[in-house]
Amino acid sequence: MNAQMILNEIYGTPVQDPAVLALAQQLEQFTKDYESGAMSKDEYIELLADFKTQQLIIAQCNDLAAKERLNSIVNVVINAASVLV
Amino acid sequence: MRKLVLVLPFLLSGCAAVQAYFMAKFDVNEYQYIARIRTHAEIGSGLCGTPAVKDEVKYIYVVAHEYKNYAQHIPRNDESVKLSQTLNQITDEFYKKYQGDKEPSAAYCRAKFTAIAQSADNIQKVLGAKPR
Repeated sequence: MNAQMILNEIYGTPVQDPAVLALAQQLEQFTKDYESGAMSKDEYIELLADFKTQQLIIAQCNDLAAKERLNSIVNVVINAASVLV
Repeated sequence: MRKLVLVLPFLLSGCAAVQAYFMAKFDVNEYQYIARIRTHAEIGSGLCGTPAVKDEVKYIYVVAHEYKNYAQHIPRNDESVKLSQTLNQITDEFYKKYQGDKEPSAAYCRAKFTAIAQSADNIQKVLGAKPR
């Protein structure tokens, strides 16, 4: 899958996460830089690997955010229950 | 005591709610590390192509390691540990690149700083939202 295909996939997604959109802009920018000869192939390959790593960071952040939301819900339930008991 | 009685069913069930209830709380040091990484990545980007950039790259490399080591042994802090390890993959490669004989290009330098700043920003949001 090349950079343009990844970008088409991201921009074609109905629900657009701002973090993913920022990532797409980065990919667009450094792909342009590579195509204009501003960076070497090795550097571009490393940045593509970072792109995957950043996707992983976004997924891990979403996991932690979900746990935080669940923590809030559990606390609300426990506090409500302790009032009733 | 009353709270313990209420929490007991969750404890026994071993579900995700239990893990969420007992998750590591907001830690000001952890938050400070990630804010520092983000700040230096934002500043460093403007220094690409100058000799001063090496110091910023090294500084981020060191602080990212500090964050990873600090988070590592905090109980029930698995998500933050994973985040620190993943972020270190980006900062380690960047640092190694500046240890070589060949000077990396300014475009690569800016892209790396952007990747670090953006990732740190994402991490900062979730660390900041940890329960107090």
